[in-house]
Amino acid sequence: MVTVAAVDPGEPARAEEYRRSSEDIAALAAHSYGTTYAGVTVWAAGGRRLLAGHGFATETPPPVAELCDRVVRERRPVVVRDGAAGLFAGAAILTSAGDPLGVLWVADEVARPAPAPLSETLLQVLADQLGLRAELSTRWRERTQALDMVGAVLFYASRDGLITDISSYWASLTGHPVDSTVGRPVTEFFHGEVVDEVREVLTAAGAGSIRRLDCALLTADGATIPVDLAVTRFDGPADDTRELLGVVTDLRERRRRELEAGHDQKLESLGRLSAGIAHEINTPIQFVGDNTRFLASAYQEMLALIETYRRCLDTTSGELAWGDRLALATEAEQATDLDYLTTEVPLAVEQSLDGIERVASLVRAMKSFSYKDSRDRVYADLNEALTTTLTVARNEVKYVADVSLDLGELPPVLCHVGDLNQVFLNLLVNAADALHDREERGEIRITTRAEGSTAVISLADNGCGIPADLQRMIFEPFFTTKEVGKGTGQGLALARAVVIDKHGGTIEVNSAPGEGTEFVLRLPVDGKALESA
Amino acid sequence: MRKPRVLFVDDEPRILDGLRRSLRGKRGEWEMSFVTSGAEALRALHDTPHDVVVSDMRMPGMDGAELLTHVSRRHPEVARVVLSGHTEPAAAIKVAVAGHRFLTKPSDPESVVTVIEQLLVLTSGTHPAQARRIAGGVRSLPTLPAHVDRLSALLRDPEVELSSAIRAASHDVGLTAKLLQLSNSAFFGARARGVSMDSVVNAVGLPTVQALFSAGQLLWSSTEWRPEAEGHLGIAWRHAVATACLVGSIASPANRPHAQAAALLQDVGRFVCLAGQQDDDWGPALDPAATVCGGVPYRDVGVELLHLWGLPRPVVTAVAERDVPHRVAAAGLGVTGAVRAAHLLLQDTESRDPSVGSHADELALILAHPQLTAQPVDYWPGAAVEASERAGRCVRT
Repeated sequence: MVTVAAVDPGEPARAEEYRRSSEDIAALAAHSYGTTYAGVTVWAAGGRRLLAGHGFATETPPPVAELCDRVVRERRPVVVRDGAAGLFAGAAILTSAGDPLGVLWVADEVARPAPAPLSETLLQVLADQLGLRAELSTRWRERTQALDMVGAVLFYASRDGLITDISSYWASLTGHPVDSTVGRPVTEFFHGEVVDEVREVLTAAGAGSIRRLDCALLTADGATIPVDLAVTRFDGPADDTRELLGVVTDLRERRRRELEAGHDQKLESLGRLSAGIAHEINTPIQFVGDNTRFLASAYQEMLALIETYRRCLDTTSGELAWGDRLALATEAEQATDLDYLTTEVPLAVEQSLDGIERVASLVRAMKSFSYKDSRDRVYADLNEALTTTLTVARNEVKYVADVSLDLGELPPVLCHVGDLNQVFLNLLVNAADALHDREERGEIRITTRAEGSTAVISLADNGCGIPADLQRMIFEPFFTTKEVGKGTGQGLALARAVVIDKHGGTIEVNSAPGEGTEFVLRLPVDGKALESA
Repeated sequence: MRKPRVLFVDDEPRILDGLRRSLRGKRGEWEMSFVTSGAEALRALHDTPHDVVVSDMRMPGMDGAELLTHVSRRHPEVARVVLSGHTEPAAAIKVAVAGHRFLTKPSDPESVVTVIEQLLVLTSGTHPAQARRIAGGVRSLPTLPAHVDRLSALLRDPEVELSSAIRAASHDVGLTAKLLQLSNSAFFGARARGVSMDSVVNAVGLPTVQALFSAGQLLWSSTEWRPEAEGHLGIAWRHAVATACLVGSIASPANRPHAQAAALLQDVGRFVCLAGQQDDDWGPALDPAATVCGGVPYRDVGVELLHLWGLPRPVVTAVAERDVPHRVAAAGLGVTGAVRAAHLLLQDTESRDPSVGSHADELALILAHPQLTAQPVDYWPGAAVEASERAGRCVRT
């Protein structure tokens, strides 16, 4: 015996609705057959029980119960004209799979000639109605249960946008009770800012096509939840209270995971960069230290020389002849290797300052590279962002390639510049990796130009290239051709997410194996999505 | 005698300028030259004999590890120093095999000078140049073929217990020598606090030990081994392990790590001379009692190697003086005396060293040292037999 949602106390509102329709149909049957009693007896979780009765109150009379068992056993309508229960007629309520749910029956104490015609057919048609309703209700429940698991709510709405049915997960997601939600407009439950867009989605949803919207839901306590709203329309003679079918998906978990993936990717590239950055700092520190020590000893030598000069100039030691003084000075100059110091000291100072500038600019670049984006976009100079990224990643690139920059005039671009830096870095590191196994040094060309209100950034290498069959896959998360431990395959996935999803731009790859790869990024200057996506 | 020649290699000219200036005080003692690539360095070494090369690691074209590997083959007499600001472990392993000494950038001129001056010292009294040539060409020491599988299975096991890795490393001559060489430098993680294998393995980290073992083993293939050589080294190894076991109870606690390292490395010269070098025309005699190859004493080669690799002085001295009759000093046995005592005690066991006889009188004098009188004199032969048996088990399994 199957247990059916509609007659199961699991979902009270729905069970009550089913009980009421059972009552109506039982009444209809009693009226049609002219009997005193009618009822719907079901086999639910707790065993056999009377779901709805007409003409009496509480439970299935025992003789009737026995006859119900027979109906279920024989799976066909049974009519008894003069039995222990007097007149009895019953038809089984079956699921589409043929499983019995219960019995619709009519009965009377008095056995009397049947009102003509006592057709079993009518009873069976009415019983089938109940089977169908139970089945629909079960299906609904199965579907919504599956959606509950992925954090989604299923709802039906009428043509004018009033909610007519909604899955019970709605209550746990938003805190709005299902009962008080049904009958209210869909738009009422969305954030004020997106209400117009939601309305547009509802009216524009066509038959057979799905309209989606990224928007925010309002909970009972006034909080918002980021959701995906998808709506489609049933065409044709369907019940007009169920003309629109919608699914609302909770995006909180997905957003969190995206955030984590982005974070992981940043950590990955940071880990890789940190070794290179350490080297870029250690090198100048080494020569600045060496030069400074040299300057200290040069100063001592110069000081000693000056002491000698002073002695030579000292008139109190009058007895020293001019020639002797000159000889003393020349000797001291030679001992000091004055010529060497004269050439080397300025160079040592210059190179030390240069070393300090190298460290300083690297530290500046790191600071601006890791610029923490606020939620809002800001106008940024992308040429500067590219130069910054190049400084930070210099150690990744300099052993394998020469970088040529061809930076055109770019207007300030409204963007999340920290995220774009990360994209530039990923592309640059990939280019360096593509050049790694070449015999001779490779070349990386970075070009920028403005095309109307679009900033175009191209980053090209003459490395190993990407085979045509892989070009489709490179933007997929976790796709990587690098050996284990070298990359997690999130770099280009992040690039796509940042450029397309976050900035409404485009990213395209042109590559020929053996010749090289070019990535072209197009970003709208004003932050509004490009048409030609 | 000519001035020692030192060659500096770095792709960053400013580093070379800085070194030139800060080492200017040494211009009277050394001849220094500076080149910006591996190719130039090899040309310079080809054209003029040099004594020391100091190289950067990461350079375009030929990198430091590659350059130093070439130098080890073409100019084994040139001491190889790494001076690098790079810290990635993978690159460090490559260079750990190729270099003799390791300096990190930034290093002050004093450290650079100290290392170069140490390397300009040749330790062999009788055959300085030959001993340097033979020892200088060594990049790693082999594990005996019969034990490679066991050791690599142990070290490749990602679940290996730290303590079993330490035990395995402390029984392997090559790995012990390499780890002590590296632990002396900040290059490979934290500088070890002592020379016990415990602190060394903890300082460099297990992954580095595993990577070093694999990288070192790659230089050796079992087909190059002559079975006779393997047999002789097996004997020497057992003696070394037994000495290391026994010396633990002879040396004072402060000297114990040094004494155990010296005991294990006492015949490292034999390993260098017998293992896989039969191509050379100075091919050594395959006699278990032999102590020289091509006229150069094994011991001189071993000591030169430990010196080049920068092992602690007490260890190098103890190895150098293993065969010198020990004159007991009142101050204590020291590392040298302890190693010598353990070595001689084992001559009456199965783990004896066939190249030396027994020195009963000298041994009696050493054992009478106050440091050892806590144990009755007849305790020691039994302890020696026990150490010998432990070493036997260790070598057989």
